[in-house]
Amino acid sequence: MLNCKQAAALMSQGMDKKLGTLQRVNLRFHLMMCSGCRNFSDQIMLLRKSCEKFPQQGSPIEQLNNE
Amino acid sequence: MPNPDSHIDELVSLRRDMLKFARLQLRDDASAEDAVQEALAAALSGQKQFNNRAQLKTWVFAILKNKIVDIIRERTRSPGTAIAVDEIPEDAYDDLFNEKGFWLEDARPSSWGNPESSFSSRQFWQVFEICLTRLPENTARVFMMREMLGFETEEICKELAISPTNCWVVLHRARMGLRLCLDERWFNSENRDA
Repeated sequence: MLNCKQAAALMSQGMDKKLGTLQRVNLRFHLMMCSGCRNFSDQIMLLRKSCEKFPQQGSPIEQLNNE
Repeated sequence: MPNPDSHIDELVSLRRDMLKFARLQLRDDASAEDAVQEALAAALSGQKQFNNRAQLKTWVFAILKNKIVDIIRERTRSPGTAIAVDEIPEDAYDDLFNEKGFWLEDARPSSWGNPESSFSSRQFWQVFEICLTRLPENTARVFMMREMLGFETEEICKELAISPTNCWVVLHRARMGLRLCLDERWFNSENRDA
């Protein structure tokens, strides 16, 4: 059975390549029981979404300084 | 935006934003200037019409991303440019887990609620940028190549002369670091005012 540390590494890897069947089954099983890892999964997805949006935000720091 | 002059005004105001983005990706002022200059030249020579500023910005940044990708490819074409992949040590996040590898009570990720509502907050993007720049240089570079410039992992391995395994390890540690930073400085921060 996966622990959270292994699950986190697999979730991250799953964003960069297709996981094997066994890996996916193990991960799904772990996520069913672990709210911490479900949150982790949502949060690394949010990192990706934020990165997509980031260039559109310009330079928030400079904008603040210029106001 | 029917008047071409207003295009030029817009582009000038975008220039600073572009430069900031290019510097973050390239970590070198001269190549950042080059990338922005070329992207602006390409944008100005185009005959595209835009209905609003957001459309223009999307398009200009798409051009800029391509220029940055070109520069990174060129830069890494010369052999012997393998990067250090252990900037964040293997045990850096061990203190989040107990000895069996399960989240410790106070390190277990808690819900961020409706995190996308933060996208409209300028302070959120400020924190996001701070967290990005706090990552070690090569770690940030690999992460941004993947998540901002859209490189596939195989491509990153090839460009930076690192193994696929190392590439995943670096990306994972980058995500761990960034997640933790956003958690502490924004989503679970008491100083947050949005």
